[in-house]
Amino acid sequence: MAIPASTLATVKSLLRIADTDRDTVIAECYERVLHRTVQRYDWFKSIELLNAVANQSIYTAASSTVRILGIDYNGVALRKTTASSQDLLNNGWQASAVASSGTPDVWWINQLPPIVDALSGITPIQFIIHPPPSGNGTNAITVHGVSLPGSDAPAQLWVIPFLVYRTVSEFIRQSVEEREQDTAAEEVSMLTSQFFDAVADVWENVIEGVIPQ
Amino acid sequence: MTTWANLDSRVQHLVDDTAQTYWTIGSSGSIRKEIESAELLIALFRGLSEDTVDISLTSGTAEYRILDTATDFILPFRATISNVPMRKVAFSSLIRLDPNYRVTQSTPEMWYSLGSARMGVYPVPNGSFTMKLTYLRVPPTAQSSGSPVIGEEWHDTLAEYAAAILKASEGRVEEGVDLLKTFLSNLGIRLPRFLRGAAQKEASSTATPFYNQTD
Repeated sequence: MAIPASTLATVKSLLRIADTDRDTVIAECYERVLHRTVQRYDWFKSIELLNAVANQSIYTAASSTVRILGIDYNGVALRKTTASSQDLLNNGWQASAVASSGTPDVWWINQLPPIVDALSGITPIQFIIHPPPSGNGTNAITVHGVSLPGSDAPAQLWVIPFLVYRTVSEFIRQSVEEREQDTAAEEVSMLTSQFFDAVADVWENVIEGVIPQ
Repeated sequence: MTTWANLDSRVQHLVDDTAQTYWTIGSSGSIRKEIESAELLIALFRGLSEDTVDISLTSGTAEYRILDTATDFILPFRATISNVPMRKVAFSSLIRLDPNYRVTQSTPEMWYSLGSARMGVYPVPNGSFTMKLTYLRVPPTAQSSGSPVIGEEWHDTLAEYAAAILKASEGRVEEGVDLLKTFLSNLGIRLPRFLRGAAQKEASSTATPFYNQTD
């Protein structure tokens, strides 16, 4: 994943690095920070429309999707369920899951009925709706999810300082871990990393209290 | 009224760099970037920067990506249609109230947040409406003149934050910590653990961080 140019410039300014030799490392630090942020928070919600296919239960969200929060079918929110709930409520549900199609009522993401859609596995960005739709439908399925921002800077401008400070701290920390000698420069570096981590913590706490999840 | 140029100069004095040896001034300078970050943080924490925008609601469309219309959008404060306030509703409450929330049509009476970029209205519009949305916004950046949008009483605090960041960046961590503590105390934010204990740590202020050393 590329780091946005303006973010890279700000990070390098705070690290007081002028050369481009470490741009790749900085980008890797930024990517780790962004991934951790998206996994932890729902700040980057997304909506995706999918076409419903007759008798098809399994659908795949966009590859940038990190987490699926909810599914609508023709504007109606589907209930989320789990395989264990189905086991408790309806013994033999797997057989009924491959019964006649109809209007989807529930969705889930774990444990496929063994013969539904003849799938051998399921990935984190796939989900199942049941019953499978009885007919095709353009944009009939709405996937509410959390997605990674692309290579451009996040459209949410308020998150950028947080990402910058965390990336600065991450870069310094991973650089220190590569060193073997205990020097005064290293101590200053670790303190600087901890300082920027503390600043990022302040931003994170403020944002957590303000931005709806 | 303190101008951006005044603030740049104040930060230069705080970091002892009036010659711009390390940090640049001006609308795209490194000093300005940290002052703007401070303004954003205060605006976020205290809700001090708002704006109002018209959102065109179209028949049959429940949800709208506000960031497309207002790129400085952070979160909604209040919404009205024809001067009638709309009620805020939690999305989880709405789907319990009406699972057909994206189908039921009428004049919208409620709004709900969908993350940090989108909003929805309920019922779904059955015609065209204009929703006036007042929202918390990212303060304007990279301005060549004028002043910060937040009040004059915060301007010294802006300079303290910027100086704290820049001093720490130079390896003057203790000095940065002292300034940051003052900033956070003025804002009323509890200090992170590192800042509460950092005063006890002694570090050589003349050592260059090794990632700045040339081989």
